[in-house]
Amino acid sequence: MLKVVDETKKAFLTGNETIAWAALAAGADIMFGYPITPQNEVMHYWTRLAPRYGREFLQTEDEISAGFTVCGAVQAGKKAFTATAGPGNVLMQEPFGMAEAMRLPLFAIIQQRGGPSSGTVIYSQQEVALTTYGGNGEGYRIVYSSASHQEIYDYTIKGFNMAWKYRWPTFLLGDGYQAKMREPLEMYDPEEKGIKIEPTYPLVGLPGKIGEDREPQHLCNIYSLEEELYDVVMKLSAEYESIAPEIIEWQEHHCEDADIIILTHGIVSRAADDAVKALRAQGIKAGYFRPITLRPYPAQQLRDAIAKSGAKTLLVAESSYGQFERLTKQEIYGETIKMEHLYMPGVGIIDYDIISKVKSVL
Amino acid sequence: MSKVYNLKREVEKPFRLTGGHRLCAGCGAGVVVAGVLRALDEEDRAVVTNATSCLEVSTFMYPYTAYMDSYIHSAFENSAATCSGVEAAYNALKRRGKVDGTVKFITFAGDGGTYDIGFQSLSGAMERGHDMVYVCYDNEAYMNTGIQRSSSTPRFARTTTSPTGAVGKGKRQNKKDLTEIMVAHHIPYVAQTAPLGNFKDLHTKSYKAIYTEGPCFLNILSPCPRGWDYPMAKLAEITRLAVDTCVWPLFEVEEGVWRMTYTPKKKLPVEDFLRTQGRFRHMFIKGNEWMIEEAQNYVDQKWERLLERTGA
Repeated sequence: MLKVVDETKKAFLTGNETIAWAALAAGADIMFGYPITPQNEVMHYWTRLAPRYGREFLQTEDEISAGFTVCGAVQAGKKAFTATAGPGNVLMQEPFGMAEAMRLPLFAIIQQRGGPSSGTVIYSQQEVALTTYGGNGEGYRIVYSSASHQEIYDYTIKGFNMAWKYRWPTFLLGDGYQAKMREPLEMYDPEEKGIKIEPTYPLVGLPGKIGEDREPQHLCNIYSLEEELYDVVMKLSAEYESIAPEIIEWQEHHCEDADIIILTHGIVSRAADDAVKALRAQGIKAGYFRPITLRPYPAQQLRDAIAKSGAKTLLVAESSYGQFERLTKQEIYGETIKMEHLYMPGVGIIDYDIISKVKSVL
Repeated sequence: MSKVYNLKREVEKPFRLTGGHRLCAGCGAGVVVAGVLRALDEEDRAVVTNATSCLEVSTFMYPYTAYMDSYIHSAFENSAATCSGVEAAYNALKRRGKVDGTVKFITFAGDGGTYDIGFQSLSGAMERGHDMVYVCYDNEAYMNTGIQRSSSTPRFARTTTSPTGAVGKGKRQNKKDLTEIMVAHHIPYVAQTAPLGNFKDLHTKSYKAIYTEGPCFLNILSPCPRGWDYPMAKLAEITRLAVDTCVWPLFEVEEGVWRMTYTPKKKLPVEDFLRTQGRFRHMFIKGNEWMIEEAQNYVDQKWERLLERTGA
């Protein structure tokens, strides 16, 4: 197969273009998609680039089908993915739920837009609840929230790997800004960097006769009895919880002596990073904590950061109305730190917004 | 519509889709929607439902509206369902004597919102028999999100998700025949039209669709200068060519009876239509003559079948 990235190189790309390149570098076989802003260009770049590397694209008639075609392709052993946003993410909850039930290595990019409903096509962080716990299940998902184009590249490759290694549906949560903005990054061949590409394998159509040569392959999303489902859900929960520590990722700095910890995720973390530097320069002891995985959540790590700093206040800043704070609260229940928040649903947050908020609550 | 159609008189009526909307110059959608709404009797009111589309984002930039009638934008996949709901509520209120006058229910959606994601909702509404008109303004791709192929995109057309190049030859599949599928719903009135000439065909069919009781469907060709890649002044010419090459025949099916409403004096070669648009440019590269040939064969086959059906 033609190598996608011969040697590590600097590039200046939009986030959507970055995803297409990273998916190629990760060895993705096929993308299934349906038009929705702000992810359209993932499809555009992919359809333009894919034929050069013998990869495929299929556009479906809606997002429900786009999600289920990914479910079908991964069962056939193909590294498949999709990308969507907003109302498309809502429609894809059914295939995402099936992927949880059947442990399918589905990978999806979510470029958040404003809501509820059609909302705006621009930007928000309002798809946190939907992406982490959407669907009629327990949220057996791996969700990375990226903050830069480098991370989009890194975590797209990683997302495929995690999906195939652990077989939970895996998501990269971006947003309209990250999708459309152009930014420098380093593109590389993952294997040259020592990143092992997880092998893919078919889940159906396996050789041998069932009962003689092999056990049947159980990929099930419906059960007849309460107790049957109970056993399945308990088993899935135990498995998810057991692998969570291997998956959890986070970033923190300046938490050791912080009076206030600023908690953000995704692109808002970049404003928080700048805000902490500015506040420190002004003599205010601010710390920075950012979950990279929103699911599973780095709960213990955040508890530790609170404990070691002795911070009195935890400020949650998000471009949504409390979705991220609610997720955090359930994860660190019992902590006595005072919680403050800066909710700017559907609106970008800059360092100044956070600095002002910090000064108003200290 | 007792009087003979007279364009001058029709355009003197107050526009129900007013100017100042933000559709592109050279876009067919504005002409189509203004033409359909013009067929309403002046004293009647309408509720316009609109799926997410170019039309929606350009004619209804909240809080601004280009419509003189009530307007509801729902989401992408559900405009027919939304319209059904309003119509059902209207009937309930009317039975209780709580609304006066005549209110008509008209849905506008693009081909993406009709042929693809909105198809289930459309089919359901037609089968349930709501007294409404569903109008598809068919520009043969998802123009609003950046010109992606739809199931209405004709074979060989270039879109951003059916690109042309060393491997890609534009869209691989033929266009879905939605008008026929709607005929198969056995609803009172189905028609295919285009904003052509003095708009008589568009007007007459719109009037029939609006004032025939029960669910009616109009499929209206609506060229797009961005997606089809033509100079904006060419809208009328391209629409004319679509009809005269029989790429987009004009016909109606009233209570199951097929009728051709326009037969070109001289059926032009499909090439004449294709040549006007950048989306088909690759078909004219040396070595790709087979594409034009296949496009012609396809149109001929469909035209023959239509001639048989309409007995024209």
